[in-house]
Amino acid sequence: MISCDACQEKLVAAFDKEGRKEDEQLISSHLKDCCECRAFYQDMVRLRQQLVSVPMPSLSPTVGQELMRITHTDSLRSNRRGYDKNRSRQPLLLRFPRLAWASGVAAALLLVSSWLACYALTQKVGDLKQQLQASRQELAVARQDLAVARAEEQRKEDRDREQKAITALYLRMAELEERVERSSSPRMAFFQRN
Amino acid sequence: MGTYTDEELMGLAQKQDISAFEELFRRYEQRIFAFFWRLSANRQEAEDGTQETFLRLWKARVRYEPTGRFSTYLFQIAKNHFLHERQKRDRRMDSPQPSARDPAELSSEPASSDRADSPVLAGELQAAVTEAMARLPETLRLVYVLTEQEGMSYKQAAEILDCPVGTVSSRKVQAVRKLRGLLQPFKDEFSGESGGTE
Repeated sequence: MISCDACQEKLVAAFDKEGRKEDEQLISSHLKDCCECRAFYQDMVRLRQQLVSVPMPSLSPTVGQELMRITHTDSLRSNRRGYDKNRSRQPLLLRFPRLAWASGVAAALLLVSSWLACYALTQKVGDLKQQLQASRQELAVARQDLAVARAEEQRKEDRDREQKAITALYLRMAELEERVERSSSPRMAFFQRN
Repeated sequence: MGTYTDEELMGLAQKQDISAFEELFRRYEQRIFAFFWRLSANRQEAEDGTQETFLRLWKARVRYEPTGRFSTYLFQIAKNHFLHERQKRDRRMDSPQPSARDPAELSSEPASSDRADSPVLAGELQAAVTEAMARLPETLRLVYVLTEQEGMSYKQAAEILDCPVGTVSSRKVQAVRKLRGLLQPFKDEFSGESGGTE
């Protein structure tokens, strides 16, 4: 036998179709012997009947109209916000087509001028390379000339030195001859005297 | 629109489809109004609550995720609004409301006790039942309205009230006991009204 509190709890759950199957027997046997719980059950049933019979007013149509008016306004505002939000997410050039055109033209001009500059620069570099090549050749020729000139100069110097040495030798020979001549003259005179 | 489920309609409302939201309103307006009316027994309060609930639903549509039943989600909004309004009102009035009274006091003080010995008409009995409902603590009243009058399961009521199923079950028993106590003066008429219906 369960207590009245437990029985009433199970009764309420069973009445709301939330009870367990195995509790039904316990409830039935308790209700047979307990008038208080039977009264509780009857009151619970009557209470539900009374509440169902309480007339329910209907919702005023102005509530729905006002609600729809507010939601319409809010929706328009949200759409506008969403449009602005989406717009702000777009790249700058998509938002301003004229700017896109101007940017395109500027980019094309920049590209063409860059290409022209590159072409001119390439030409210039080619010319400079040729000039450099010519200069190198000239330099080589000049070096050869210089070497020839140096060799010539060396030979000339050698000749001068040789000439000077010969001149010095001749002078020395003349000096020696003169000394020889001077030293031999008294002896000759002696011999001639004797 | 009639063939769409509630969740599908909410999905459309998320995409700014006003007609989908209107259909949701048509489907639930009377239930939400009845919910507030049964909780407050005040037409104006019930209408304001209904409007505010759907406005909150409209504003929260972007965050809505169809993880559970739509009706649970909607009644959660309604319940939160009801409790929020009650707290605001209690703070404003700075005095205890009938619904917030001590349970012991409520059970000892029957509804309209001065009329206990006088004959009671059917309309008066209904008024007494409504008054008794209004005098239930809010936690018990919410459980009673959801399970008894909205016909929800304990599980769904527990989801709406954000509490365990066992709590819903015990609160329901407490609510029935308190209502019995409050309607004690009308016991004879109460029994007579529904006599023979068992």
